[in-house]
Amino acid sequence: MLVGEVERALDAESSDLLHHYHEAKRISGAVNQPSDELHQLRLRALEKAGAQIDFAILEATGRQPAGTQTATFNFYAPIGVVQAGAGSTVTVQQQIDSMGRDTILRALEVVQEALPAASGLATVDRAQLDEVIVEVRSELAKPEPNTLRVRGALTGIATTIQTLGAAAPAYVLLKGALALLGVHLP
Amino acid sequence: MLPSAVVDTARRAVRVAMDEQRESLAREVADIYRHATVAGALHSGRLLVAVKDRLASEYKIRAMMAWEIWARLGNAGHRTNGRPTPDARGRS
Repeated sequence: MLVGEVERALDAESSDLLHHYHEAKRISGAVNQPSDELHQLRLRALEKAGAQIDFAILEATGRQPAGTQTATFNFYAPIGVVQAGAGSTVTVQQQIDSMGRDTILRALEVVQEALPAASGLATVDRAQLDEVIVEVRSELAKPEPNTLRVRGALTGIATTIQTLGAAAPAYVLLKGALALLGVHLP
Repeated sequence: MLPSAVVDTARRAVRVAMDEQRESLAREVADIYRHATVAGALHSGRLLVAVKDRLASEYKIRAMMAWEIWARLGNAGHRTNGRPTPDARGRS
């Protein structure tokens, strides 16, 4: 939601930038400039804000003390509902946007890098982890990834590596990626 | 989902902040034109580079501004059970 709101604010409130750009192009006589130049500037700004939001989510999930029942939720992707209380059920339609996808892919990359150093991991677990990571990557490559499948796989990966000291940074990143999907791990 | 009162307040705050940014940007771009005119570079690529640099930082300023407003109001809404209170709003 937050990235969407930032994007919405930029698009709704920044037509003056387009005006200034075209005016400067006209006056300077530089008519051959690439037409998507301004779009690139906008994308870079959104990436910067997206990174800040990622950090905020990581900080929020990293500070959450184990065993408590309270949490601060910073929603990144469009989300339909917050569920609270034992036994409550609800149907959620959730999508992974491109920044969420990048965050998950980055987290998976760090997990794979951490695996060779994780001596406490059985060979069979290592092979299964590799297999699941490949599955998540291929799911994310689809135009409309199955969020449920991605969420389930990431949760499985996170619970497998959470006790491995060598994979601690990877676990933090995965925790952040899962927070984007509405799963808050300790 | 954030309460609609928080969403409305955040969007309004973003609009007000962006209005101020627009005015300030217009003044700064006018300064760029003034300097380019004095330097005899009004009809040169230097003018476009200068404006483009300013627009690049303006996009970042606006994106960060919007995010900070949402983060601040989102937290205020959470602390006050989803309802921004007069003390959370500050001076009217």
